[in-house]
Amino acid sequence: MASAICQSAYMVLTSPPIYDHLYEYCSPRTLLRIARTCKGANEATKEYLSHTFSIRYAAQLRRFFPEAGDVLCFRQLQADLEFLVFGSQAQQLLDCTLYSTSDLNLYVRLDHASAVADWLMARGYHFVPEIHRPSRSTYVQTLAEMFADDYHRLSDHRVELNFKMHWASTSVGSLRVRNSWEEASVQIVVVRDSPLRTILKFHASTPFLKKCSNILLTTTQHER
Amino acid sequence: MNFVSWDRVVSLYPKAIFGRRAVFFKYGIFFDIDEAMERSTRRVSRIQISSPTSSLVGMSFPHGGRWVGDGKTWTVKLSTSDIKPPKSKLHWEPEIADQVLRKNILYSYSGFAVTKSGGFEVTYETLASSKLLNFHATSAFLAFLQPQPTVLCISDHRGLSMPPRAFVMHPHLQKLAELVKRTHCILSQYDRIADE
Repeated sequence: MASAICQSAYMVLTSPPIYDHLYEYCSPRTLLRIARTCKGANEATKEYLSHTFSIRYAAQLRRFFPEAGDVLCFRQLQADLEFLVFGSQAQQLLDCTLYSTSDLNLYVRLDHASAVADWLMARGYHFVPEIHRPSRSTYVQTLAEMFADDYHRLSDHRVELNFKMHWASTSVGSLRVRNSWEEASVQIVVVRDSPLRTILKFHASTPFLKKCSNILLTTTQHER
Repeated sequence: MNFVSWDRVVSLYPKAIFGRRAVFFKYGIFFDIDEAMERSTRRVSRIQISSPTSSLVGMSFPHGGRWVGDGKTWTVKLSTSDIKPPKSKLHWEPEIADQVLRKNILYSYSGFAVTKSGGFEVTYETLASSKLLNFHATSAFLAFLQPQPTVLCISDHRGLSMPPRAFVMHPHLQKLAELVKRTHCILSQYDRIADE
């Protein structure tokens, strides 16, 4: 009986009028509440969100990688190197909002940082060195310093590599085509440990971190 | 506390982010509250600071056993139809259930209002009493939380006059302050500006 009701709820909530028109006007909070009503609703909202977030994530990334195919390349790179996108981009995706000037924060392991930086440079990004560190004028030098002198300090300190790119954007308005220059910023946060563990260490409370550290240590053991 | 991995979007505290519009600031990351506000003013009109063990935080940021992918986490899978999965798959879920409980609540809070001279309202949930440590105090805890108390002026709360209490640094309070400092945690809650 219960499964029949769930099935009916699923069918109603995935029907085209609701799927196409109603969910679009629901806030994430409302969708969360719908998801909690029954299994059918949970499945329906999950399906909708998965579809919508995939499209929205691609649209967000297109602002940083405007060339055709680069968004898919970026996602493949993310899968290969298992880095995390954190900060305002994740918030925007979940919150269905768009901050026009936000940057892209990537938490990348030290041994993968060079590969991600090379990939960005190949897409037209240039490295922005820190003003107070003249010895780190390129990201190669910065990473070399990290591997050498500062390596032992990386577990406590995040090291950031900033990249910028300007690209010409064309938008079609009601009367004319408008050309403008867009600026995109990508920040690679280089971490020695697992990216997730570093994020939790930086932002979470001690009990949660302790718990997650145990999990992630277990994960690392599995990987080995 | 949200992130995007290669195949999913994860929010560890969905209630806080989508319900109460709350965000964590770890105490010690920002030099003082001004810097924290500077980072948030583009999106906030009100900041509320409270301890990790208050009931408000408990609702938004659930205590107890938490892990990435538990019942309180909001996970949305992304389409990965054209993407090859990584060689080593991450295990998000733990193998052993957590036994962390909310036993370590040492103190409770009462409302207390502080207005900053910049147009932003800062509301503190200030220390009121601790049965375990056996004391009652407010201002000292406020001073502990705020490294530069001179930039703030204590004002009335909802129109009612509330004079600042005397600064008493009780030995037990000192102990508590050290404890709070050790836990390194602070919550800043905000409401969005209506027109955003």
